[in-house]
Amino acid sequence: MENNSILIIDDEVQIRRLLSITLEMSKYKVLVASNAKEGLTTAAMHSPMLIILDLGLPDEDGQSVLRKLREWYKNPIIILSARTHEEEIVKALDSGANDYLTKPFHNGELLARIRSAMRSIRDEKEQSATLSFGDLSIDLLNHCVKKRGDVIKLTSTEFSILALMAQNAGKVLTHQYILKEVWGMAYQSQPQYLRVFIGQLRKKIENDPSFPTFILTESGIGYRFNEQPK
Amino acid sequence: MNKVFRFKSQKRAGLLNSGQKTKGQLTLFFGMCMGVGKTHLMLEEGIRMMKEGVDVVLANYNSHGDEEIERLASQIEQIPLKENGEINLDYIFKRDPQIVLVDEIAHLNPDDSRHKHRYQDIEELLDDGIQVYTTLNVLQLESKAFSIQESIGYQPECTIPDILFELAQKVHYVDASPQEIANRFLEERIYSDQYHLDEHSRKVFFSVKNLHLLQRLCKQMMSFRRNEKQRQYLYERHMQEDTITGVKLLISINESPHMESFIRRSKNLSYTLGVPLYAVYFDSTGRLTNREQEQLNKNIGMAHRLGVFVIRSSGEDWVSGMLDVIRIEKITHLILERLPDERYLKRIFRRSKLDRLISKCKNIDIYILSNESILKRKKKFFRLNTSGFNTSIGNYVKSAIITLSAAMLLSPFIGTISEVSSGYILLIVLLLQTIYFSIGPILLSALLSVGIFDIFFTAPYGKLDFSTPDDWLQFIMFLAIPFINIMLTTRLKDQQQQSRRREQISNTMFNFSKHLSTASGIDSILEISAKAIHDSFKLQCAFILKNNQDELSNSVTPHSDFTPTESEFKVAEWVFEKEKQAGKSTENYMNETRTFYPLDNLKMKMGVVVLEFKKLFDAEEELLWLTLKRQISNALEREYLNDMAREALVLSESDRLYKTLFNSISHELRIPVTSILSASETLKEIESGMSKEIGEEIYTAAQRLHRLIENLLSMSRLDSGRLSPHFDWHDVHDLIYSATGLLKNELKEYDLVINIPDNMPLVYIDFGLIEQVLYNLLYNITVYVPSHTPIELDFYHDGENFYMSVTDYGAGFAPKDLPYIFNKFYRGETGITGGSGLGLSIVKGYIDMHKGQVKAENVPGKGACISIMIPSKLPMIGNF
Repeated sequence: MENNSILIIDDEVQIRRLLSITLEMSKYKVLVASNAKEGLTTAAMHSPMLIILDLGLPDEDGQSVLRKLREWYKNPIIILSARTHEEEIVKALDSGANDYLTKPFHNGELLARIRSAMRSIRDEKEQSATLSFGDLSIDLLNHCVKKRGDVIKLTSTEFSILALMAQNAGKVLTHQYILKEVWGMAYQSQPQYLRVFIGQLRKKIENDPSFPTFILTESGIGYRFNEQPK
Repeated sequence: MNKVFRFKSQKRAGLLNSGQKTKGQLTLFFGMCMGVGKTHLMLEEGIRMMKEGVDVVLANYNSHGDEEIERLASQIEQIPLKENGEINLDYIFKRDPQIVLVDEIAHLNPDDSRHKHRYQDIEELLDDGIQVYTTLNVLQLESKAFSIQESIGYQPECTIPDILFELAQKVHYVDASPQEIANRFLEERIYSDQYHLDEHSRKVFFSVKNLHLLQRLCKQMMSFRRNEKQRQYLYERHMQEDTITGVKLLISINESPHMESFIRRSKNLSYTLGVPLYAVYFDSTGRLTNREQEQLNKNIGMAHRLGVFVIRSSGEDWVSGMLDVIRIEKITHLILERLPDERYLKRIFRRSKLDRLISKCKNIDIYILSNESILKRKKKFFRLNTSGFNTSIGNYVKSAIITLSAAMLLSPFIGTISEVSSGYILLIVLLLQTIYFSIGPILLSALLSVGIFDIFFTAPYGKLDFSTPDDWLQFIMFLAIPFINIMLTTRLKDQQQQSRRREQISNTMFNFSKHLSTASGIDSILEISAKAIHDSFKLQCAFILKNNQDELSNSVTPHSDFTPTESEFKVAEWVFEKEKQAGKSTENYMNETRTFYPLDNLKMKMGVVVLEFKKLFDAEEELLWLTLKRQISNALEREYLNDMAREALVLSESDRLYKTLFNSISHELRIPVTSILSASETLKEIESGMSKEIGEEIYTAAQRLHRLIENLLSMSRLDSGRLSPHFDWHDVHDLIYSATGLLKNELKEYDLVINIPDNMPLVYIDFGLIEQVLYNLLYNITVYVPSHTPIELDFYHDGENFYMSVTDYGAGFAPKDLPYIFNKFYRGETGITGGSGLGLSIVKGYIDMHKGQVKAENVPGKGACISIMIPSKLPMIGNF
């Protein structure tokens, strides 16, 4: 039988209960923990398929719980945080969280994130040389991008960014991560470079750069490549 | 061990180029005498600067009927003079020009002025950062004032310290040939009345020969300045001076009254050679009497004014002290004064001292100045204290009675005891009296004794007889012995008195600091201080302290003995501002009846203390007062620092409290709303019919509540001043995407028209805040503007600023609401509910944090328009 248990670590009983209802309705098995200690124990005992972790726990800093979990736990971790705490979210993403949600969130959004996170671990082994998203196709081997069959000319940096994001489709990538992967360590503190390139990329691949369908902005955090563009 | 202290740097700096505030530059127009055209050139230079766009004013001028000067002066804005005909400082400060032209720096102000000398006025202008142009002739320099005194007896009425000349940033030398000046004088084109000379002297003064001499003096001064500049250049770059520029002269100054001329002559020698002069004095407090100390201070002050580098040495031994200074300062030349014809032991002692020094510094050149000036010195064999005679008649009578009764008691024994013994006894009685009486009564008794002794105790009895040498010898002895004795006792008494006084002072200081150290609170410090001033000086005093805004308050503190008048408060303010003393017996505001001292420390100004003198301080009292004042200042500073520390603590406490409260409240408010939102959302999704409708209602209400809470929290963050924006470069597309993403459902009904130029650069903003701004503006439209209308979003950048405007096609703002819409909780009378009245005030607050501007207006043919301007430079992005 497939392991479909989800562990919720949150100190707010109402949030825990609501999450449980929503998740159980979607046929997930729900485990709950109200503090960090309990959460770590439960995670170790049941080894759930996914963990939803609130960053503001009473007994321990969420960041350190995350680091402890990541020492052995390989499955996705989605963090919950207040909207104004972008720095915290970026930090958590950089230390191994797969995705995040800001309170208040829509149930649909939560379920979509869970599905996306699950897919990303399942798909890991079967990466193909050509990625397709709607009318956009990216040939990783030949560095060729086509939209509705027309070849789009990209500079090598633009292609590197697009390829990196497409390979991690559905997952939020922090500015720092993209900068590090594409330009190297030295540029990590200069997100304006990234913004300029993203702007150029959008002009080339999006229909309307103000309402992008492929490269989505996660404000204050980074970008997410939409795996299911409309 | 001798210690050498240099304080020339601070001392010199204090006069002109101290670093705290940018000081104005001093430019001198320098010439040999009247009539060379200094004022003329100064005015021309001023006009030239004016034409270059510099703000120039003329503080005063004296044309002496010269039409050309009148013509030039009329081209410059003139500052009206004060009623007493002096330059109007306050007017100039209010006018705040860049350059002030002041004619004649050497000038004595009338008694009712702020400063005694005009150069002090000029210093105040410079202190305020104003540049000053002024005129000076060579004889007005303190060192040169006496140069031609001997030939024609001319001495300028007022001089300025040489240091001003040395430290002036620019000196324009106004030259003219002596022959031409002499001609001008003969043609009566030179106004020379101000020299107060008679006809003959005037002719001598303006003779070609004398003018040549003056011209030479000027050139000498200019060349000295050139050398000094060069030395400064080398010094600043830590370069080794060569042997020619490396010459340094040294003199030793002491408390003798003839020093002034010696220093002046040495300084002139240094000018002639074009090399710097150093002076060393030996600090020996206690060894000198008050008068000597005063004279020493005067000599040191004179040296400072002449631009001599003064060094203090605290050694006991003059020779080794001198050698130390020579070694440390790398002195090359020594200037000594020719020995005056001193007498006896002193001369031998001195000579040996000089000889020792000379023999020990073999590689030093020595100049010996002639002693012409020293000869003029008053010669005093010894100082006789005449006060010994000014004692009461009673003492004379008492002393005489004692002497007479001793003689009476002795009279029965005439014949039984020898002449010699009775002589001794009378002498002893006389000597005993010297302990109690001063010289006057003793002299009377001595005369009485010698008379009585001669008449009654020596043969021939009953007759005053001074025929034998013996009698004369006795006479001399009777006078000499008590006299010597009284000299000794007077000295002893003096010393005793002095040490008693010193003890008193140290007691006062000790008690004062003891009380101060236990005092807490400014009030009690001032109470103790006032008491100390009453006790030690018997003076009335008043304290004025600063208020919370670091300005001098306009009332005295309790424990003040009097309340200064309004005009005195003005003086106090000046004292506080400039940190200089003023009033009676100072050089500022001299005709005030009270004296004002600043209470300040290096770091802090605290207030002003006002004293009402009955008689002026002597040197020792002055010293005591300065120490006392410093102690008061220190104690006050301690209190103020304590207060500040306490305030900081309270502030950080409240800060902490606020943060805790804020965090917990925002948490406590958000969590339930999140739950309601989430639950009602689920409800409306899974249920149908009535329950679904109810779910939807709950969801809408919860969303409204959520928005209100977020707005309230934003507002409170803004109000608290705790919001610190995180600026970074952002793409405006992202901004639109994020803001509209949050209002996806609401905006579906509208037609969004977005205008972004193709070359729109990144903008430097706090993304979250501006996103909130855009969100609030769009949300307002969804509330107040009917659906199915366009919303225009325009963005552009002009290289300096980022512009953003949101225009709708609704009814627009009601004109009477327009001025208030950015006010907190202000809601226009639209009849539509839903807003909290916070949205636009948050917009304004966030834009203010970006130092931007926000404007609301109605666009004819459309609707309301909010336009925003945020300063944002273009990003620096290289190619890579």
